[in-house]
Amino acid sequence: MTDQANDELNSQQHELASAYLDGVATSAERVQVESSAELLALVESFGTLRTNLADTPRATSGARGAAFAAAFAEFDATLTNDQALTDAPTAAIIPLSHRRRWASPLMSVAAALLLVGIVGVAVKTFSGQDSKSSSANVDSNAKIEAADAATSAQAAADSTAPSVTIGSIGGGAQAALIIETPQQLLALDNTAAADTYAPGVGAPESTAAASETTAAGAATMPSDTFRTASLARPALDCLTDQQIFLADIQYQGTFAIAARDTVTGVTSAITDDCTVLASVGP
Amino acid sequence: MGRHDRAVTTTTVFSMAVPLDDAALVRAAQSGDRTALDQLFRRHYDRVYAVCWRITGNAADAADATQEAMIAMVRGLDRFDGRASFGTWAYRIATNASLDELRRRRRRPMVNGRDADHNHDLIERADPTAVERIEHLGDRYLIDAALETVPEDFRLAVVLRDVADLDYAEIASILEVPVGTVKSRIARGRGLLATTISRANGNRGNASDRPTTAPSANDDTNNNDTT
Repeated sequence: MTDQANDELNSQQHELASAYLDGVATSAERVQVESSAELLALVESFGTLRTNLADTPRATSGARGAAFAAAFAEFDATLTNDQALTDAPTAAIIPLSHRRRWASPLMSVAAALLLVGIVGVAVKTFSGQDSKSSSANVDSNAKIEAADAATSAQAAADSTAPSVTIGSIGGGAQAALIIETPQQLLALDNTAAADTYAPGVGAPESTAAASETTAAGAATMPSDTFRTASLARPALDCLTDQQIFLADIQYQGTFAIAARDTVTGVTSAITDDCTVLASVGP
Repeated sequence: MGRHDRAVTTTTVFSMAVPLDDAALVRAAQSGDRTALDQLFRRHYDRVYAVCWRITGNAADAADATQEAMIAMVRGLDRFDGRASFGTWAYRIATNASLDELRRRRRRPMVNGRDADHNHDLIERADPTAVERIEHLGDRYLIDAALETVPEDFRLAVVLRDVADLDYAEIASILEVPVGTVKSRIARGRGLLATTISRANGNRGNASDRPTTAPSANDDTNNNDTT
């Protein structure tokens, strides 16, 4: 028998004995092994080999301890990293609320001081530029500011005031407050503070501010639209010297202006042809 | 799975009177339970070390490989999905760590510490009564020496079967080869080991006193070698 044939035979015997030892031999293979003393001896030698292979010396306590220490150091490091990652989003949120908690009153005070400063500088600057104006004008400006503030406060507090909405004049080119009832007209009167405005005089900033303040209680009308609309309205010519313009309105579907008699306090809705649609007194 | 829910899991582990199986310990460890991981490692350390020993062939490399394997297990713990047993997963990592250690060893000079005959003579001179006691140690050396002569593919298959006690399918999964290949490699590896050990025993002149570890088909060869 050649070496190659021997090797082949040995290889087959090894596979049979090995499979038998590991319990994966087929029933036919098991019969073949159990009927051959040679193969059984081979199985026994493989079994002895297995026993010897598994019989390894134990690690020294030093090696064991070092391995455990290294593994747990890694575990702790991983754990720390995980927690850091877990905490990271929280850390991004918590400081924000903390910052809000301490910053809120502080920032409010700072904002209030800044606002007062800006208003003061603005008033002073305006007064300086208008140095030729009479003291009455200065008083008037002061009255405007006071009126603005008062109106703002009142509008904010007057939650029971009848609400109005914004309509349009001339196919949407201009905006008008939609007034349906005399009470709404009166509420408009209560919130508008155009004391200094009169026919033929350009609407001052305070008037525009007043219109926006009006919206705080009911509806909003852009100040630029308000001024443009009011100046373009022919109804302004209908006002008496005692009446002041308040707002462009759409009273019960008819475009008009709202005007208040500064003596009697009566507020009227007046159309372009000087028809008084409604008058309501305080 | 994150590892930030440690308190809950630790309570669960300690409240159980019956030892948890590997899967439960893995889940607890994945949740950050140090005790569970410790139990897992204590349960598998010896066998992982044995696998590393049989692949690397010496205690120092086996210790290094085992330590590297344990660190790798910690790092990969979150990715362990439980489809295979923890043991299979651990031995796969241990096998790779051992192979890495072998590659490192090949790159560094090494003093041969496996001269069994030299050790035998030294011990006999120091303590003649110890010779019998170290016969078993001699067998270990023989096994180690024989393993080194077996090609790596065969050696890994045999070690994973006979040391790690994995079945063919698990070995096939670790070595990424078909089960049939595993079966063949184990058989050939065992045959080579048995032949090598038989020859070595014959060379030591006391083969008749030892259990037969070589197939009878190779006896002629062994006799030829010894004469």
